[in-house]
Amino acid sequence: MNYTEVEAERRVRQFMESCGFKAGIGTVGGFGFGALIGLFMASMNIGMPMEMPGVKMPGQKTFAQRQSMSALETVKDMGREMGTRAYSTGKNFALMSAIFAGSECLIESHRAKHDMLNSVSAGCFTGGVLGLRAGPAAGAFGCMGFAAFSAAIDLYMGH
Amino acid sequence: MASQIDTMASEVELEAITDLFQKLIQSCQQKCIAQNYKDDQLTKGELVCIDRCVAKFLEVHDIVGKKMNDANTPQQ
Repeated sequence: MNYTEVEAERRVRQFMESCGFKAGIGTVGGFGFGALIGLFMASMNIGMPMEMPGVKMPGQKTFAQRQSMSALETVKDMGREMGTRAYSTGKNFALMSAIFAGSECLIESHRAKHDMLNSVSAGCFTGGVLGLRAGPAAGAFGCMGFAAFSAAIDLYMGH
Repeated sequence: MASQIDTMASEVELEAITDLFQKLIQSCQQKCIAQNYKDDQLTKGELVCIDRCVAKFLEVHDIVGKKMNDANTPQQ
């Protein structure tokens, strides 16, 4: 009934309880989840590129180029496009999740209490930081939106 | 005779430490651990609170003990 931990176990446990580790887990999980969401969204709207005669758009292929590709090449091309989209969504989600997890852990460490205010404040901070790039109004809006989203998720998961 | 005094001294000290431990657990559990909880793991907030609570309790214990010692032996 008496379990005393070894020094190595203690250090591992302390590392896993730290805010940096939690933010790291948030980043990795956020990237995975975001990549899945990006794949899903990419598969829903495979854009038919608009091509205007005479106008060169550097990233897109012309109709003649697309016609000359075999089925396998087309599949690979679309796959690459979906991959790029998934990667960029994944990066966005990873950043959001890292900021949210890190700030929630820091707020909870500071307050020494565990209730819903931690995640709501962390949501406001995340939304504010991410929205501040587009001006203070967008920052305030992002704060409120993300805080409400975070509160809803918390209520759904039972505090 | 000396060993009897030693035994009594260590008994008193054991009882004092046990009492300190009991009061410490009671006080910090009341202050830090929420009344309604949903899982068995301590949350980050509770861990931090327990750390701070124990540190403060022991420091207060030390300071009060020192003051009592100074009050009991003022002629030094």
